[in-house]
Amino acid sequence: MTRRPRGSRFLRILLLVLLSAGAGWGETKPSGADNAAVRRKEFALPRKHDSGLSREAKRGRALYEYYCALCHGKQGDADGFNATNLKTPPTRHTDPILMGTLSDAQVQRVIKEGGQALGRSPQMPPWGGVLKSQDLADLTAFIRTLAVPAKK
Amino acid sequence: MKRTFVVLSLLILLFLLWQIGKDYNRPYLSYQKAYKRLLAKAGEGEPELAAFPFGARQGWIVGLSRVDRCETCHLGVEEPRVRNAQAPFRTHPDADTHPVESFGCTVCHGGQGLATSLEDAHGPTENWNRAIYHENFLQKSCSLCHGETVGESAPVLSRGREIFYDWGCRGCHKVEGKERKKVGPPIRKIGEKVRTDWLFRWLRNPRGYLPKTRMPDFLLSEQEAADITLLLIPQQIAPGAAPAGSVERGRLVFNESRCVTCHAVEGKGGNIGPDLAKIGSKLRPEGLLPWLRNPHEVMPTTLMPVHNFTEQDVRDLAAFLMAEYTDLELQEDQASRDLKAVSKGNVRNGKALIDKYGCTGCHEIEGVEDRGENGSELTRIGDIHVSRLEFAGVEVPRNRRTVPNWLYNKMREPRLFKGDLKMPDYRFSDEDAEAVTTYLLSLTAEKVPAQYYHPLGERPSGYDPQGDFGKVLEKYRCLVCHRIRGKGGTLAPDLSREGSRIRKEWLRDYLRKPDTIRPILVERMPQMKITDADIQILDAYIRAALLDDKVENLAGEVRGMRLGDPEAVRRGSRLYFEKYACDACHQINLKGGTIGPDLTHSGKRLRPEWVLLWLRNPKAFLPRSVEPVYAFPQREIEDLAAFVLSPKGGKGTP
Repeated sequence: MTRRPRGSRFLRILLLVLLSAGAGWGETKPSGADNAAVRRKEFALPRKHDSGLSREAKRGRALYEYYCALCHGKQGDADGFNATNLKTPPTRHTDPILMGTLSDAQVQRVIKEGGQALGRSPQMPPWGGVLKSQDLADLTAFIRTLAVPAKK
Repeated sequence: MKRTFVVLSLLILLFLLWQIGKDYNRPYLSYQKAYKRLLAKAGEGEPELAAFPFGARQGWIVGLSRVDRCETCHLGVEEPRVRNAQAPFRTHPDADTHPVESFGCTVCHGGQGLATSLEDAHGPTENWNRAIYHENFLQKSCSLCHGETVGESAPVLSRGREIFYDWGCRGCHKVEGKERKKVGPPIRKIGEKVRTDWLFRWLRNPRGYLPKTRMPDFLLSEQEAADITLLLIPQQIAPGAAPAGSVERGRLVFNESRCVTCHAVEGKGGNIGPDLAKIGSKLRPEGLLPWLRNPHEVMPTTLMPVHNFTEQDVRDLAAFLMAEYTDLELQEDQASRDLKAVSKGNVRNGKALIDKYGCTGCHEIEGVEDRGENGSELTRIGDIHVSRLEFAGVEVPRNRRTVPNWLYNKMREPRLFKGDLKMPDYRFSDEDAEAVTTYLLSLTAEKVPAQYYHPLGERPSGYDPQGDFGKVLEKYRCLVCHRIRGKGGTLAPDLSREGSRIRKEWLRDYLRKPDTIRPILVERMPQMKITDADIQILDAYIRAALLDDKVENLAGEVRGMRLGDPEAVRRGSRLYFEKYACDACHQINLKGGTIGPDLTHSGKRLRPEWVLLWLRNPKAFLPRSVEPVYAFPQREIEDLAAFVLSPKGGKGTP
């Protein structure tokens, strides 16, 4: 029985490592390489689209984006595309101090009867002919999510 | 002997007690106890709480032949008092339209209705293929009762269906009962139209040229792309001279014709036609001329209208496009390197590759036979058993191995499971991959009984105008943007009742030179030099056939109104500006909002009958209008109508 020279095992492992590294090195790029290379080779699971909104607020958001965002802005920042055309700028729904002074009933009343109902600008039209009472509640629920209450 | 007997008896007794205990302590009981506590918190009375019925609960949906025991744990499905509770007690959001006693749960959600443990009910388990559907794919079930043209009520499903048929999936995958349409342009004499080096780059990476293209990436190697390019353009044609035209005048024609309504350039503009930002690096110099003269002769299925350009317009426009919009990122020697690569191509291999990748599923290719669908049939893909799907080299834990998950990953990365597959990569976003997966899951043999069938959404319209009007609509591709009686696009106003809205003289002027009614839109009516004869045909048809009785019936009432009375106009003006602030949304002489149309010339544009109806209730004419419904008193309506229809000075006042 011949005695193996010392370190032969180490050398063999080294050889293996080098070989496999070499194989990796010489690997041809996947075809269409420019963008295929960045794609991940992983099994993906569907992710929840959680907006964190209640069902009412979700319905309210759809209405808000359809009717209100044109002036009030999609996020309620008073920056809708029509905002600069108004003589009185639209209410900023992200303003926690201002929104804090309005009760839900007042918010709903302005939407329903227009700005004049609370002695404000007639540029805010009355939506009572379009929106039902559930719509008003949904809208209010969504508008309430826009302003983060000020911390004291 | 006696001792053995005693031991055995004891063992049996213990076993019995253990079984009783096990039976008593069902896994769902902990949920039921938690729910009882929730009810107590919600203010349920003492006697009702004491009588709380523990135990399995089930619903037998006779019509659907299903028995669902989901309510054993999902106890609050129809209990509004716990609507904000956490799962599993949350109230079902659509309980009003889809009551549990008529539908059960599993017909929409999947899962194993008879099971009473979470693992078995939700799945996947060894012997129950249909695991509960992830909420992102849930709309697959809507089509069971509501049909697959369900529209906005199931937006994810609708988007998936749209992608499936518009992006060419049907070209390679058979779905019984669905027509196979070639969604890509036909490829004929392509060498006369595009540059060879462009075609090579395009095949290798379509998104490098058009970031939003529907042409998928076939992940072709350089050699494969060269083979196909050489097959499609076997002989290099000497490049022609650059179009002899005026770039400056071409720019004018480009702007006047409003090409950006359909074509984006540098990220701005519509998406009906392809982005033109790099067109100068794609086309041969003379390749654009026949297209601009009459695109329908080059490609009968194109969405592009005939613009009736003069020959000078065509040359100037071509000169402008070729000079202005070239690919600035292209390296100088790129073209010659690409051509060199193409010269190493092999035509016979190119043909084999076209067969392999199924190019003819989307393109009609001159000289190449279409061998029909070469992908798997998908008619019942939603029913497939997960064991028939190959996960191959990808590690997936068993409880994630479901049909929806497999399809979703296939959509995101078609060659994930195996490298040498032929399905191309559409670079779907996660949302689009979910949408297509949802549509695929909806393809099942499952049927519901007739009493459950309740189709929603717009039925495919049978509107198909013939004769001269039909020809003119085709020539100018009006229905790409406009809609008439349920047929056509939604980008521009629905014209089904346009004859009742607009005045004859205005329509003629508008068709000759489309003005801007809505100042802020990018997508404006393109200017197409519609001939007088065609205008005559459009006008006659719109006036005779596209009417609304609700408007026409007001003719008598309008005759009795004093719309020209200056006093009424003055009163109307006060109402318009002061009381109702209509100028918040409408412009007059460039002042006012841009939500509604400009009203400077509305007296020339609108018929008084229509204005009357609109002021009473805009939604009666256009349900999707964003105009508030004011319920003006009759007197104010007359005054407002008088003002709206009165001349308001400014440019173009008679």
